[in-house]
Amino acid sequence: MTDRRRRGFAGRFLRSPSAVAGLVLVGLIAALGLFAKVIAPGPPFAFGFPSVGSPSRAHLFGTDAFARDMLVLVTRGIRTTLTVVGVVMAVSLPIGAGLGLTAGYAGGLLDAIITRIAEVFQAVPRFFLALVVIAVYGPGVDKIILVLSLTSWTFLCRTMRAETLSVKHRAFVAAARAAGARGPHIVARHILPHVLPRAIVVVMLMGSRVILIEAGLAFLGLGDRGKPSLGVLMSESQAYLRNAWWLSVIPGVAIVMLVLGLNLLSDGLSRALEIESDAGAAPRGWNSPGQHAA
Amino acid sequence: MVLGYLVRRVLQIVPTLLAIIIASFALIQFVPGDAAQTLAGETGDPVILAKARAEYGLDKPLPVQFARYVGRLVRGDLGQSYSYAQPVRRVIIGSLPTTILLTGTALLVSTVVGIVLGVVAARKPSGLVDHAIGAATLTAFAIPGFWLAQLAILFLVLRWKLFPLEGYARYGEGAPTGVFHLADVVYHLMLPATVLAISEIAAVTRIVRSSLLSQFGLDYTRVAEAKGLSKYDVLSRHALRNALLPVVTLIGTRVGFLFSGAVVIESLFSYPGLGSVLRAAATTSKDPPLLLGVVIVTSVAIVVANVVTDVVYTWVDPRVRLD
Repeated sequence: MTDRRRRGFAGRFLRSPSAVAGLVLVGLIAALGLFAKVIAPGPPFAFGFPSVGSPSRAHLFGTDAFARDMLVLVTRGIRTTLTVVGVVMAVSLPIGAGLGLTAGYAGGLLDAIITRIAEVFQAVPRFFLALVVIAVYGPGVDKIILVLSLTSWTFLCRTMRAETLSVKHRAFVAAARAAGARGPHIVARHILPHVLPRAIVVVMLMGSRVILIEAGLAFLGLGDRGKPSLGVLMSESQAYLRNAWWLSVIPGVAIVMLVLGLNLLSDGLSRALEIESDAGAAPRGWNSPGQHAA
Repeated sequence: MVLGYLVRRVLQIVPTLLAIIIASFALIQFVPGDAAQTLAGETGDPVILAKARAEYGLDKPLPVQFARYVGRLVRGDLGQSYSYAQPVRRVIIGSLPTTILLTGTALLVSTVVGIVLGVVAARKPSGLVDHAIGAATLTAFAIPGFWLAQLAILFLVLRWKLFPLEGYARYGEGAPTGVFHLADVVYHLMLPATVLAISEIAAVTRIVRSSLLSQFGLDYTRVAEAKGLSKYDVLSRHALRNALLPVVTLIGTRVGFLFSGAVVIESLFSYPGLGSVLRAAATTSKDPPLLLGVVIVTSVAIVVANVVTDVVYTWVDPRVRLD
């Protein structure tokens, strides 16, 4: 990719309203999580404030039924969410992209084996698998990360395989091969740069699914009780729905903002890419693969 | 050629099913404390423990245990549920109909509404309506199912009292019977099914829209336009048929999503189905055989659904047979 084209991509990306909105949303929530200790200092489960207090100047997000400060709990909960998503994305990106590139480039038996393995992992609904593992081995952020990582790479693998197949027979790959380059070198230097942007789009969509699954598990009581969590906060708010809206609405809005932001970001990114790729003919307007992607 | 494809496709599910069985067997092996311990109870009387071990074959070597496990599964024996004190199969069969009613309704609603919204959005790409639907579906994707359910309960049930709070239907004294009972079942079903369907509606809308738009500019739609058909006719008579194929192929995946969603929705609305059973087995009653039974049954159902979809697909779209 030449310098001029890259700038063109960044320009397109930043001109897209959805990409900018996504960047702002994710940035806002991520800042709340990253600077949690600055924004709301103190231990996460400190109590002794007025119980079920509505948002005020002393407690911006109000207090909960256990007399804890919601600002502290929500920011720490975002931190937990970000940790889970970050690790899952970091683990499944190399696995999914690696296996997908291998399957697509090597073809044959290796391709068949990798495709079958991915199929097995896709057969079981992820939410169920996570439910079973946590029920059997006990709750814990590490187990959630493990299950979600184990099951998140499959869609990425499939996308990467398809992308590799479409690039494999292009002239520049043939040229590299003719010049004497070997398989691993061709994959790493010629194919990977072509398919990586698409991988990032997919990984973002995946991240937004991971957030929702993690929150769902925590809501059902399968999260880590020792760590502040948005899902747990919302499940605790259930009994106070009528009188204390902020207990459910504030963590809920935080999750929606983060997930929406990630979706918008991947949407904007994929649109900027579509214009760039010579495939063209992409439908106008919004066209991310949506929920079933990841 | 078609037959060859069918045979190949059906054979492909064998390793998948085997892997699911091995994984579930492995999960049981790693359960802290074995089934016998749970049955012998807290006392841990060695005599009872040994007897229970022998009864469940837990004293045999692993390969023998695995062979027995597969044998039992093939016969449809999923083991004994601890918390219900009856066969897992019976618990599942007992709660499956309500879940099928709930997820089936959500599947139907999401398909119909999703197609309509997708068509409406595709009629004028980048128009006001298109952008509005686009924004709505993006938001629908971002809302956790349990939060949507919470908000629905808060406003539609508690504040405005439009829907019943929980359950499958009213029972006992003064409960409606006959046709009124059916109406009551539908009344109880409406809110949970709608909440469950929301994110699926968004998914179908997006799929239909983008696959409709990708049909425009292809030869057959241009011919139809050249014949003088209005854009709406081209869309509904020609493009829609092809655009709906992805909706068909994704049914297996969609069923998986709906089942997962049903766990949360059923718990929140106290809807007596497989989801509620699964949640209880995972949280309060700690019932691994029941958990695994539910997961095996739903996974197999999804694998089979995928194969059936693929086969139906070759029939709906003959082009697929070529590969």
